[in-house]
Parts: sequence; structure tokens; C-alpha cells
Amino acid sequence: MRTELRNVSKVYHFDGRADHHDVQALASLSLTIAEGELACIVGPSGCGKSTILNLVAGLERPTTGEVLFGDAPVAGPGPDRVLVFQAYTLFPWLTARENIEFGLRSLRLPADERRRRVDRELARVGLNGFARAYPHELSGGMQQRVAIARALTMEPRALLMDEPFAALDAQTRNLMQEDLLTALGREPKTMIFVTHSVDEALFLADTVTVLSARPARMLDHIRIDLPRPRKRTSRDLNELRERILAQLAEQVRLAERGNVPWGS
Amino acid sequence: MGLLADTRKGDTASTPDAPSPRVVRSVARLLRLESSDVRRNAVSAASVIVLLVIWQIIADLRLFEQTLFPEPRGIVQSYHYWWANGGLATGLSISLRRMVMAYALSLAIGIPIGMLIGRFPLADWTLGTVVRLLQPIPGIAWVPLAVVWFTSVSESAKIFIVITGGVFPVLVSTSAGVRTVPPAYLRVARTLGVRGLGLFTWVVFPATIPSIVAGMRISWAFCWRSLMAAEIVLAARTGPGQEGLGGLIAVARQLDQINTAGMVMVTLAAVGLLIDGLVFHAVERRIRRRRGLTE
Repeated sequence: MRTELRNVSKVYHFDGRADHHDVQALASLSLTIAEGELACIVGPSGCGKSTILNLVAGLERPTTGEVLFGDAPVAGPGPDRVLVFQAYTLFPWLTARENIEFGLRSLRLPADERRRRVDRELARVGLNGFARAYPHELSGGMQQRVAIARALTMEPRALLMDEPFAALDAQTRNLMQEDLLTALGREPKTMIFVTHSVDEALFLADTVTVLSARPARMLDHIRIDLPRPRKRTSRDLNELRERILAQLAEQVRLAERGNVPWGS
Repeated sequence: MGLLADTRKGDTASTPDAPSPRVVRSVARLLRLESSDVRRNAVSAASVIVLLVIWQIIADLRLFEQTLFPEPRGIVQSYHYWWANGGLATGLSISLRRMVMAYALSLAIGIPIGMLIGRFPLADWTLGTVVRLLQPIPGIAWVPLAVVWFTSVSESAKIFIVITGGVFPVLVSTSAGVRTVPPAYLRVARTLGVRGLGLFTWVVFPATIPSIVAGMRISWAFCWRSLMAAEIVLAARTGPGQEGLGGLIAVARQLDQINTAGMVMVTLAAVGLLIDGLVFHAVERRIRRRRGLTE
């Protein structure tokens, strides 16, 4: 399923007590993600990366423009596009198994099919022994594995990842990236992966889209055809890293100058 | 402390016919009050005993007229008397029966309305406003209306008064709990395809359970208070205990049996403490532990 944003703008309206103002998160952004592509989106924080995922997931609607999934416009949330959030989104009153099974209730599947799917996803993320554990008994990395399994059990056409590893320490994070690729190795699935980590994007992506500071424009679009598993410090990746970091640094500099009165 | 230190030493020496080290250790732990639960309960019990002793001493000083000041010894005699004639057991069972019914109704009304008010702004502006208006009115103030609306001595009048006392704490606590459900939970559920009523039953309700239980705990205490008010004011039937524990207090007042009043008060405290400790404390602890909210 191809995912497409056509001239999408998104304006958030803040209606505070003392202050009403609009924030333009996206301004006529166009972006296409091909079927089966692992597309990473990087950009300075607050640039509207997460907004893109929320729009594709159907949790929010564009102010103007169109979001297409396949040939149809996105009308709302659907189990064919499941979003995985940053952290702490497991339901604390459910065990790991029950969390993974959560979305299946709305699919009205027979009990044995539900069990089969949950077992499969538990094995895929390597948490067979933790099915009965409650979220607080799991490490941060394990919790995110459960969150990913909870999304995969829906068998979505596209997986939307909103900085899923951002709250983890650097080593766990690297391991999670490797495991994610291994877990999905045999079934190419469309994945839109938002991150502020350039390293993460380069390690994972088929394509990297670099966004500007808010409102997000596309600064760069890079296709990475290197075989996996990739060596994080290979020359090719280092060159790309330099290129993207320079683009991002420029954006951050501009944003900071725009914000602080003493910027020269 | 010397004795306890010796016990410990004996443990390490382990003479052949000494009790097994584990028993010695656990006895030592009990005596040294090492477990915080045991220590707390022991200290609490001791403070109650001290209170009773001081109370009896003051009574024995005869500073007050005996008919005006209940005393522990007299209360024990009252227990004998009211136990023997069955009044206490009858009163307790009648009060508890009213309590259970009124409490169940309070929850059945309070929890759903609290959920609605917490979730939907329109319900908050309408129903919520009514709730905020009625909430400050104490149960006892409803007595005249209850008497007119229901037959004055009927069960319904008393149960109505108890509900006016018990419905609001659980209602307010539930609505506050619903408002603080992390929005992230709802977003996760929606992206997993859950909509409408499913969001309510699978996310909002379970996420609110700790607040609901906290409210239930307070509602129980409020029901208990309102029940006594209703029973004292609306006591009608005669016969030992026929009007519940509150009826016993009313009888005591009429007959100047100050120790009977004291006995009922002690019973009220004991029942309240027992339910709160055995039921609510245990339930809350279980929920907190399961959700990882404890240390």
C-alpha cells in the first residue's frame, strides 16, 4: 500500500486563557512512501514529524490537503495502519499477553486464532517467558517490544513508528534496531519510522527524508541501498551522516535565532 | 534489649536441642518488631490499650457524674447485657443490611454518573452542576424530605438518607479519575481499531479503577455516618435492636444509659475499622501492587 501526503497542511489552534494562537506544524508538504518501504523521517524536534504519523494513522485530520493510503483517503484510525508510540503506553492493568491481544478484540476473531497470533508475536519479539508479566515488571526495552508486538498482532499493512526507541539507553536502542530488522526480515512491510536520531535512520532505512524546522518542508530525500545488517560506522553511512547532520544543524541554528532575542 | 541480643547469639551457636534457627529468628523478629507491618500494628494496639487505661482512670476519679460519662468497664457490662438479650446482634445485622443496600445503590448511581461527568463536557455542565449543588447538603438535612416522600418510619426513608450521604464521594472521585486517564491510552486504543463504547469499557473504566476504589472507600465511611444519623432520628420500632445500632443510641438517650451509647460508638468504630482495613486497604494494596504503583 502506497502512502501519500498531497500538499498537506496542519494548523493547531491553541485556545488558552490569556493567549490564542495558531501553530503551523505542516505547510503544504508532499511525501510519498512506496509499498514495502522502510521510510525514516528525521527532523529537528518539534518540526511536525509526529503530526505526519498521526495524520496517516487517522488520529488527526489535515487542515488542508489529502492523506492517501492505497488509493483511498484516510478517514480515521484503522487496524491496517497501526501506530507505535514513544514509551509508557502499555496498559498497566493488563499482562504482556493481554496487552498484545488488546486490539484483536475489535477484530472479532475466534479465540484460537487470537491465541495463535499472540503466541506468534510473543515469539517474534523474544518474550515467550514474559507473557504473564505486568508492564511494570518489564524493562523499558521489553515494554517497547510488547508495544511493537501489540501493533504487529493486528497484521497491519503499514507500521507507523513514532520514535519508539527514543526513551531507551543507547545500547538497548541499538539492540532494538537490530532485532526489529530481524523480526521483520522475512516479511517486507511498509514502515514509516520517525526519529530524531540520524544514526537510527541510517541503520534502518530504505529512504531517509530530512525535514526542516516548523513548518516542515522536505530538505532532502536519500535512498540507501546498502545491504543489512549495516555497519554503523561504514564510510558510506558516515558520509550520509555528515550530510544530514549539517542540514539539521542549520535548521536548529535558524530556529534558535528565531526564538531568542539575543541571537545575533 | 539484652534478652533479645542473647536470643540471637543462641541462634548462631545452635545447640542440638535448641529450636530450629528459623523459628528462633522469626520469634526474634517479632519481638524486635522488625517487620514494619507487625511493628505498626503492635504500636497501634498498645496505644489503644493506653487510651482505655487513661479513660478508665479518669472515670474512676469521678470528676464527672457517672450518668454523663461512659467508661470502659461500664461499656463492657453493656456489651454483656445487649449481647445476652440479642439486641446488639439484631441491631448490628439490621444496620449492616441497610448499609449494604444503600451502599450498593450509592455505587450503582455514583459510578456511572461520575464516568459520564468525567468523560463528556456536556454531562459535566448539566449533571455535574446539579451534583455540585447537592453535594454540600449533609445527609441529615434530607430527613424532612425523606419523611414526606417516603413513609416516615419506612426502610426507604433511611436508605434514601444514606444514599444522599454516600453517593457523592464515589461520584466525584470517579469523575476525577476519568479526567486523568492518560490521553496516550486512548490514542493507543484508537490506533488499534477500538472505538466508541469499547474505549469506555476497555480503557477508560479499567484506567479509572484506582480512583473508583478510593472513592468507594470514602463513600463507605459517609454511608456509615449517614446511616447512624437516619437511625437515631427516625427510630420508631421498639424491641432490642430493631432499629439498628443508631436505634440503640436513641434508646440509650431516652433511658439515660450512657454506657450503652458508648458501647454503640465503640461498635461503630470497630466495624468501620474492620471493613476499611480488611476490605478496602487490601483491595487498594492489591491494585497498586499489580499496576506497579508501589515501591
